[in-house]
Amino acid sequence: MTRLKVLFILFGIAFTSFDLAEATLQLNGEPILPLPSNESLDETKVQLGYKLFMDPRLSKNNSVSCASCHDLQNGGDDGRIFPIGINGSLGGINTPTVLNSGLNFRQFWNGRAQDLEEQVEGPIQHPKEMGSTWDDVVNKLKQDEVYKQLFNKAYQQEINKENIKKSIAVFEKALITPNSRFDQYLRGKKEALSELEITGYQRFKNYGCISCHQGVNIGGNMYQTMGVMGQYFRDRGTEITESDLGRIVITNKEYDKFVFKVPSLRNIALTAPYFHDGSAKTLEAAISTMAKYQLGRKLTKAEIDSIAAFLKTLTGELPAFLKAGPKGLEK
Amino acid sequence: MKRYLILSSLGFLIFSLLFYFYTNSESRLAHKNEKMLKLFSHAEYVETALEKDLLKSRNFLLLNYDPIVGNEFEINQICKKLQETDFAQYLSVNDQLESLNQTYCSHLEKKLENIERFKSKNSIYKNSIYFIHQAVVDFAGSSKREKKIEIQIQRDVLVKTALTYSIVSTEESKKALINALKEVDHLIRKDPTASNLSVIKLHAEKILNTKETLDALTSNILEANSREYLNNIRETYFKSYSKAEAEAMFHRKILFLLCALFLGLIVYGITRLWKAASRLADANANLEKRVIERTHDLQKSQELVTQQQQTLASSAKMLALGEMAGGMAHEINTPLATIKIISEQIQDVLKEESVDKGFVQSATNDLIKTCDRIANIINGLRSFARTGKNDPLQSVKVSDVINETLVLCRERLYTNGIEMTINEIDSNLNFEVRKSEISQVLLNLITNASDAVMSLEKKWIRIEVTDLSKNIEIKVIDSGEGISQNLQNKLFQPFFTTKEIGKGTGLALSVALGIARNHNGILKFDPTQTNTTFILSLPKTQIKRETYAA
Repeated sequence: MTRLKVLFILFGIAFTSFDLAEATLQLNGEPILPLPSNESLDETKVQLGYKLFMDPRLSKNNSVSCASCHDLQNGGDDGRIFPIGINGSLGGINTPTVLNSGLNFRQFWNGRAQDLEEQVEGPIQHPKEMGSTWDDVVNKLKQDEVYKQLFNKAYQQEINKENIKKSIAVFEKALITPNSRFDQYLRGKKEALSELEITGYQRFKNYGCISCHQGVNIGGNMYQTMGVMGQYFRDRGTEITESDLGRIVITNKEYDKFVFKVPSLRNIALTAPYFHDGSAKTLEAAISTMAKYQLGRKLTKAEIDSIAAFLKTLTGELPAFLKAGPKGLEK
Repeated sequence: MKRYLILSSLGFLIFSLLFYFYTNSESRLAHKNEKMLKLFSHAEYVETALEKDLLKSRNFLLLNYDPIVGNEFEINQICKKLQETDFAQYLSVNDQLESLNQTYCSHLEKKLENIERFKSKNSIYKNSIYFIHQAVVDFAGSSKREKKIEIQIQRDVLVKTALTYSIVSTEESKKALINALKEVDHLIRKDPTASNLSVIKLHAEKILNTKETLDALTSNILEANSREYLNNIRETYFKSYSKAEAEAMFHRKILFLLCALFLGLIVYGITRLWKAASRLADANANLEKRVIERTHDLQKSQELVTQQQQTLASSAKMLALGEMAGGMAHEINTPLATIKIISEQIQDVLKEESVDKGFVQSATNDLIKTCDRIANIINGLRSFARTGKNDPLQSVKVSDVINETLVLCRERLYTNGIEMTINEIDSNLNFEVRKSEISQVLLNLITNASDAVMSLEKKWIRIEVTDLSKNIEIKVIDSGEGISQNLQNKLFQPFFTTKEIGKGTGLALSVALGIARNHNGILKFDPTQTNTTFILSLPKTQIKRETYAA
């Protein structure tokens, strides 16, 4: 009885202290929202961005394009632990997916870019990724008549750094993957999920995964420490790299040590390996690790399987224009 | 006028352009101002929304941070916009505004940072509470698993204190939780098998740790009161803007007035020009007509004047004639009486038987002589009476003209007792004149002279004729003692007279002067003489000139 009393008091206080109607609304609603199915973006700029995204001329030796690491057909990342840049150099952090990245509140694992435009600066100039400079990129693109015309059409301007960044960002914003089975379920189509998957979703919520992976992008709207309920990096055993330090590199504040942007779980089935260090090879391993270090729980195999089943329903559909490939100048 | 118009329109143009640019920039400023005010109110709105969303997510277990992220994004935008705002356009206080702005933005940034931390702490906290809840629910099952009663009790206490602390975070509940944790710690050290308990302990610790941070963060966020800074900016901004606006209003008024002034000057100038132009056109149209009319009028009045002059001249002559009429009657009566007496004598002689032929002969001779004399008088009279201006110029004897004139006035002079003397005139002395006209001049002069001397004791008139080789000079002198200086100038003016009303026309001398001039001669008063002297000087021969000057 005492236990029930405590529960009652808890909810009683929670309810009475705030507007009841709002509370009901909030509790009735799901903490995850479906992806918007239509984004109104400038078609010309999107196509221009697509072309740039696929263009290896953006790298120093014309060998690497954005798409080299962000394979759009395979989850928007490279499927490796760490990316391989120009001259085969190995990067230090796992490639996040580009799909739905426009919905993230910051870019990069440590959130150092405010938006996609700012993000573009990173890989192009990173010596281990594309290793180029803006002057170089702009000069190369200026040699191309097709680009000249496309930029003129899209911006009525010459090719410049800002326009390149804008184009790529617009293209990336268009990379929304709507209509996943889970989104269909959220929209009211209850039969879209199997019983196991629904159980997985309930567990996802009940075990507390939802406290970080929520919102339209199921993550991507907050920072969290890697290893809240346990010392992940100590337990990992390998040396702590600069990438492992997280946001502290940017803010220089102790409380930002090991803090990362919570990644989106959309299309998670396609983006193995997982975590910033690519340490989890499978979805199940990732779930297990997360439960241990973030939630302080030890999950059974059945629990993990159901949650994994739920996560696999988050794979959406690629935008239609990607199937056609980048368009040139045809009207 | 033209220069004036150009200057005023130039002024108008310049000032209206100034006015245009001024109001244009002013409206742009007003537009910016509107944007700024919108930005401010939007900032306030978003901040309120952010705090509201923050409270919501703190107070409910299920949450979605998207709205907070949306608000964060908007606030970031506002920060960007504010930092890009050029307050210099709002004049004097831009430094103050900029520093206020910076303070506000840094506060916002701090706030956002705290919110970010809040989000991660909040999810940890919620997760732990969730876990403890589940532990409560799982009590029944787990207690069966847990054989040791001590562990069961400690677990219950831990869960209870953790929940209490999460709901009512007072010092007491905190102490209780810390104590419970100590007990559990103790227990675990004694019995490492209590693995279930250690997980609960971990979460309870998280609650203990994050709750305080979370509360601190929340109150920090809620009490950060960045809105105060916002209000500060808004007020300062508004003040400076209204000041600038007032200044602008003043300048606009001045510009507007100047514009209006120049416009008024232009309108005035144009009306003036318009009027002048229409008058000019009117005058042009009427000028010829008027000239013709005037010329016609002038001709008419000229004719009238000539006509009247002639009438006047002739009437003056007739007046002189009338005056002579009495004398005339006597002149004619005397020979008539002679004719009667001679005729009676002839009748007497014819009654006698023997007619003295010699006597009749001489008597009839006398008759004829007397008749000639009468004819002479009438001749003179007629030649005087006729208008002589169309007469041809004739060479006549000077003595004849003077004598014939004297015949006309001899009786008058005689009756008034005026002595008339004439100096000797060479009978061969001729001049080329219109006889009747010259005779009129002399008659006028003599009549004037006789009128003048009538009342004097010594009454005489003297006519002196001098041969000046080319000219003949005739002086009419009377016993009067000249004419006063001021009258001399008026002498020859028409209608000037010193005689009683009804006695003179005032034309005699002016007509006489006209005649003299027509003969290329001179008629003047000689002021140098003691006695009143008029001099008529005429050339002996006239240059052939048939036209008669009007």
